[in-house]
Amino acid sequence: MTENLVEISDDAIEATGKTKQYVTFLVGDRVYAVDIVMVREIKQWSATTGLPNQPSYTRGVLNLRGTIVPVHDLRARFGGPLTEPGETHVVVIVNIGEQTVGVLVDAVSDIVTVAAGEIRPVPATASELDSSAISGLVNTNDHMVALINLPALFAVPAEATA
Amino acid sequence: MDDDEDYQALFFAECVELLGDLQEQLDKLAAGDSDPETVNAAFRAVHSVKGGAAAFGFEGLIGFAHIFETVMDKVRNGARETDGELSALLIRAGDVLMALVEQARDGGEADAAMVERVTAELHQVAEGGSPPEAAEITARAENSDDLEGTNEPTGERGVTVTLTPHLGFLRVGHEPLRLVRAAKALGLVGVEALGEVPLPQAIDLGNSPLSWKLQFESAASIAEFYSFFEIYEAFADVKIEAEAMLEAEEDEPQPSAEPRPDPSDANDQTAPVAPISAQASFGSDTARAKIAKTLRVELSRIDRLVNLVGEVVITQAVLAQRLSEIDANGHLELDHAVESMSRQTRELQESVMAIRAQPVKSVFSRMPRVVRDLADKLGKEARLIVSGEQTEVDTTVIEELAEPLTHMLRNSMDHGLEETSADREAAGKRPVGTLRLSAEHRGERVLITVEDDGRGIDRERVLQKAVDNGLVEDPEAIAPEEIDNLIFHPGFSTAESVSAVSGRGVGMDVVKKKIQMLGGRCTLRNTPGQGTRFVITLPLTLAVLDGMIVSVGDERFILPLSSVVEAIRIDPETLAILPNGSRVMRLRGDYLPLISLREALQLDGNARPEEMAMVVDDEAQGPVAIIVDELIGQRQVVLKSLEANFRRVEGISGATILGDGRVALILDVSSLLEMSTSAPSQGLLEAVG
Amino acid sequence: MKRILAVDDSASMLNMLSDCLRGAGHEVVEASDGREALERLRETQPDMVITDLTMPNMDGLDFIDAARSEEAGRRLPMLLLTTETADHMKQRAREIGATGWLTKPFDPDQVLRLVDQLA
Repeated sequence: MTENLVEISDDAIEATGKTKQYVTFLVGDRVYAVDIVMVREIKQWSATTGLPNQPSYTRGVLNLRGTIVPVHDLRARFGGPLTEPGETHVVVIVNIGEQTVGVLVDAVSDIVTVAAGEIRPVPATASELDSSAISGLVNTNDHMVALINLPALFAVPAEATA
Repeated sequence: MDDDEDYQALFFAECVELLGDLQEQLDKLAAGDSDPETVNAAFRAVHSVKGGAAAFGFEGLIGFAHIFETVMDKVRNGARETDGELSALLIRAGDVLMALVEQARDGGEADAAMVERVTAELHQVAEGGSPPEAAEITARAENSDDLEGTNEPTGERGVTVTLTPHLGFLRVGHEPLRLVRAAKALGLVGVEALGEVPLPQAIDLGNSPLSWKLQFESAASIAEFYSFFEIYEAFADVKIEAEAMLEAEEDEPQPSAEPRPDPSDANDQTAPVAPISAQASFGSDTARAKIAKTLRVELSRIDRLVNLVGEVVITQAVLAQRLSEIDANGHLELDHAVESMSRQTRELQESVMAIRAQPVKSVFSRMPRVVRDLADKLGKEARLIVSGEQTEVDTTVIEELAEPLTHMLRNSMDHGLEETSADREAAGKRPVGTLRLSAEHRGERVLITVEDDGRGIDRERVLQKAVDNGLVEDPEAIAPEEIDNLIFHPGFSTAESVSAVSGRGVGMDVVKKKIQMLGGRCTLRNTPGQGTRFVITLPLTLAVLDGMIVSVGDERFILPLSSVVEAIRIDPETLAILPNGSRVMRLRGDYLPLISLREALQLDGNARPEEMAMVVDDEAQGPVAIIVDELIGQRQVVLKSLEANFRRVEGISGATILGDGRVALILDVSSLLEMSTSAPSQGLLEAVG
Repeated sequence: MKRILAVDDSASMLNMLSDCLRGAGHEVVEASDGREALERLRETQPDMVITDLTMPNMDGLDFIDAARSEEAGRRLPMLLLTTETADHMKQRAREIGATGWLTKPFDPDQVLRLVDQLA
């Protein structure tokens, strides 16, 4: 699990100065990352309670020490099939603004340090979903890591909270 | 800074209480109450608001409170008699004061024209309308700032202060020794007694000294000296002389004599002193005593307690379940202990909830002003009759009530009441419109009614508009009550033109949504020509709920116990399908509409036939059978919000955590029924509400 | 450290005054009207009193008047802290033996200094 997927040279960090830490995780063969400050904890998958009339990627809610937290399937959110979760799957609990949300992924892989200068924009040819949901790309030797924009993916529409 | 905000928050909370009290006293006054304590209490309320306003520097509020207080003072000391006109003015002034408090609290603008008008009228009553003294207060404050500003210390210099006490100097608590000690901080270097007097240290109570000369070597400004000695000036002559004074200080004004009682200034000693009532009326006296025994606690602390108790309730349930699993041998004593604990937990929870219960009065008392304001703006005559203000509801519910109630009263004033008194008279009604606002307990819920005796909802116009807006496909297929309910449709407004009062976006749909968010229901009864009545039912608390646990497949759901009439094992013989495809169940000769929870919530899983029917009674639909797989049992559950981390889900009012730690959804019966009954074609294109 | 009896019917004002005094290390005894203040006075024997003028049950003036005839109130420094500025009120305050008159809003430094001077 701790195989280092992203190796960024010290030189590069020094060159650009500002660095940030990201948590990376796997969905199939894709690598995604979120800013470490948004991540609250990582939980092993446990069965959720389904919610009626929701998009299929919303897998329901779970009890996180007394609060009700929705769990979304990241693979399905990006248009893939529903994940069939088992014991190895994990739910990454993240804070989006005031809300706490769970994101179902295949596995968490690592924590990486990325310099601001290494983040590249999403190509204009990307799909509409990708371009709003991915805030940038970081290239490594053999992988491309997509930095995901959690609010764009899972924030509740303003109307619904009014 | 934080402290300041805390004080301000407390001040505003107090203001709400004070102003509520004020309104009550003014109403009594208007009704002819001549008890001096009524006037006194009203005076005190205004006075306290002014005091707080001055402490926090809310200028507009200070000025207005001052003139208001001046008029109240005249009433209090009998210089002005209260007649109908004055009572009305005082009530308006109370409204303006509230508006200014709100402005100070929330920002925004109070109605400037109204403030001005009422201020002018108050000035008129105050006779001659002397300029508000508040201006003086601030002017003085600025003045003393100036003094300090121009008196930057310029090194040490000699200052001599001569203090000649009057009789009574010692009696009122001055102690020369303390004076001397405190003066050391100002640079006191020597004390000299003038005349035949003992030194301060040896002074005898009966003997009043003639004077002392205090010698200072000080870097302090002259203003600081004045400020230090000011307190003695009421009972002593104080002379301050400084060597090497700056030129600028030569023509420095004497500091204001304001903060001390000065007999020479008392030119209106003949003015009647307010009769401070020592014999307050029995009623108000006991009321006061009751208030004095309350304890102000920050809501967040109680919330923490409520949450904690909620956790205890859940843990207790877990414990009970686990014990029942391992206790196959039936240890009777253990059973008893668990039972007592469950009862005590429940009592604990009720007690905690009772702390948060509050009479709806705190929100109801704001409504007469809303109606008066609207009457003013719309040029309609109306009175509001309020009842059931003492009905207690959880404070979380109360806080949320103000907004929907205001909307509903607006709606009644704007759309409900006839345009003119003449219209009303033509319809055989009294010229002044009547609105009623009432609250009462009904079981585990509170029922709030907003009613007007206006023209009712114009169904023809509503329907026309709904057709125009494409909300209704087939106008023929719609029942009259369904037309009425169209006003709850998002964006719907019956006013031909969007009026300044109701405006856009504050339609009844907002009200309904808000009420539903609170786990409540909102219904209306329209009697064309005679008026409209809105009924809101709300849970007494948003924290706990007695529920029935039912299951469908692997999922468990909670039905609020208050909505369940009975649970029946389904006899397939009693089920039938109507020609339009909907299903019914026969129960004691009646046919009840039947809703499958599995279908309504689109739950998958093998559709084995449901075994239990839960009969619920819905205000809008009457009795309905909701069919589920199994009935598991009755349990008190702690309400958890879905919206906190997600959003409102149709058909669901919230969630709870069961004994095994799993989440179960709490069903919102009326929204569930709406979901499943409005789906088949009834002429409506989309579900209403 | 002095023991000060602070009297005001407004909880926010009372809090503000008490916090100011406690912040300087003084002990504060609180009362919300004159009647209660009179009881506290007898029980606690404060070094000084700071009282509001306009209060229910017993106002500041009547309280000071009554306190002066109590053992604990004789020669006790008692300040009126109020927004009231009417001269006849001040005259009456003087007559009944109030030590001084402070206008609201109060300046915390001034209040603390007065405690040093008087108590």
